[in-house]
Amino acid sequence: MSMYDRALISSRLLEKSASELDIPESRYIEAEKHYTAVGEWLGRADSALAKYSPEIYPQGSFSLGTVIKPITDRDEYDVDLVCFLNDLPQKATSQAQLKQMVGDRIKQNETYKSILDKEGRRCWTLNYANEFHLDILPSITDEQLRSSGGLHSDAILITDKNMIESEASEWPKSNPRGYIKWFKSRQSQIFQVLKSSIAEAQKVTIDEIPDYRIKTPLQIAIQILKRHRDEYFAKSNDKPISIIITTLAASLYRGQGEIYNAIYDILQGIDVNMVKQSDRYYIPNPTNNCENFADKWNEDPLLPKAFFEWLDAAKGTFCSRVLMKSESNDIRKILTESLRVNLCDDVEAKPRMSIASAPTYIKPGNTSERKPWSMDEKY
Amino acid sequence: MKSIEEQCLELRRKYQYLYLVTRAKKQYIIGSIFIDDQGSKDSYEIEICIPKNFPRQIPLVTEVGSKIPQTYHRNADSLCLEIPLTEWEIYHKDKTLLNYVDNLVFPYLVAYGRFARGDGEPAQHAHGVRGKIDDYSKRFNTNNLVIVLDLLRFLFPRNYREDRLCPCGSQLRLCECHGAILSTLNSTGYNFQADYKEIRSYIENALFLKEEYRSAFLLRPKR
Repeated sequence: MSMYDRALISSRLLEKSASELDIPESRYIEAEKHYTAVGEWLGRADSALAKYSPEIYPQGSFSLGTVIKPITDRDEYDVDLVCFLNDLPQKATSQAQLKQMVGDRIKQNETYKSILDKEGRRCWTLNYANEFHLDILPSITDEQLRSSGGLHSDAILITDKNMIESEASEWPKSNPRGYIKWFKSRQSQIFQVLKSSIAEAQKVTIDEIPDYRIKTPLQIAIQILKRHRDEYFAKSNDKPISIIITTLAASLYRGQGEIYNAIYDILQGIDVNMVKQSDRYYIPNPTNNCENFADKWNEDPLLPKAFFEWLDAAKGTFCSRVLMKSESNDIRKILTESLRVNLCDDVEAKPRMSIASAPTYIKPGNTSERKPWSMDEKY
Repeated sequence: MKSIEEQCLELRRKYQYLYLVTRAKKQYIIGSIFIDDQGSKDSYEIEICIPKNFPRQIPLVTEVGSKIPQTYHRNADSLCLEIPLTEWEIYHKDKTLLNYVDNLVFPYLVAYGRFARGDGEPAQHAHGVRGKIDDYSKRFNTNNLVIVLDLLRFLFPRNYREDRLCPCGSQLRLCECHGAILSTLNSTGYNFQADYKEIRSYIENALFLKEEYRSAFLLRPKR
């Protein structure tokens, strides 16, 4: 079996694994229903928030298409939501007031009140037992950053309980929408290719295919890596946060059509210099380089150590063990073990969606042309 | 200097089915290369062994898909990409895996493909030590192997003296004659001593040499 065939089979198996990890569509729709209802409740005419035109939108893996099932059925999905008050200027409020206002409105609803968790550092959390929790992040416009345009035009200010207690005047910054835009830009080309190929296969127009049906190699690679991490850190608290894996993966992705190649290049591309700047761990938010996703790594050296140990383990699984196997059954076994997914049937079957898997044939350039060796002379 | 891992990623931007693996503590680039030569599409399975002292030492490549027959240009344990000096010169310009694949492995495979399809042109290079002899004769512009060997001796480490008389018989000093080509070759850092020994022992053992070579050579006292 050629290496190309191995990569192809691995890609199919990885795609299948990822589909096992996907959030079921019914769950997805249900979560959407729940958060739309929360949004309506916050923005209703009788709400004190109504005059600020509140808006609820998802952020994080839910909006990036990189959600994975929890390892056990007892664990719940996290759905991260931003509650954004469009028309509340910074000078008209304080962090404490903003947090309070949103919390008060949620508590006015008896159902929500009964499932409201105790106040979080930045969020209000609604617990839908055995399903998911909705993390609601109160926020307002970051007028200062927005004026600088680009990805900054979606910058927001959020609250932080610790800062409220210490009476800090500065607001924590965030930019979930900018991040989503950045993430999408990292996979926009392949996204369009996949979308049109699916539309073609189903004989419908591109607009009829909803975006969430499309899974790019980048999204699949992130799901696989997150799952590998969850398995690796099943008994430890040092597991690297998803946003770090997502940011590194999306930065290193360069449009590979092959899932296996995407994962290979991402894992091989991460090195210690990439996440360090003048001796400090630094993985900046691509939409705001003041935000360092690896901040905690500088406080707790066990975190980066754990991350690199996991990286080595993931490289061992995906970049080494998988490549050495020439039987698709062996590759399947490795993936089944390290991801704990069910991959028992139709390995060779056509992938769920057609991934651009034809290799690029390289044409000889003029500079490197040479005449062939002789065959008739023997020395 | 880019690490081997970085070089592999660079290589993979163009050759997307080549991968870096470690086996028995040795690093290899393994994978498939796809070639479209004026519409003729082909793929090859290759394995490049990265030597311990890479990039000082040049990698070795083998074809593992059993597509290229043993009778085609191959060494015992690798593909014979070029005359070693020429191979080294190409590699020396940019000691990276990408350059090695782009300008040595890839053209070799293209040439083989053309040969296999029957549209290869007549031979350019002989194989083995005869290839080396032909190559040096051409470079030094002489058919006289004694001169070739004498010139090669100037390429041993710290042996070059520009004020010496050129061994080609021009009665000029080296710097006015073969000095230019010698300094070009010298700058490549190639191991000429090994070639010298190989050619010398080949000549000494080759009884079927043309008469003029033999007489010229045998008359020459050994140093």
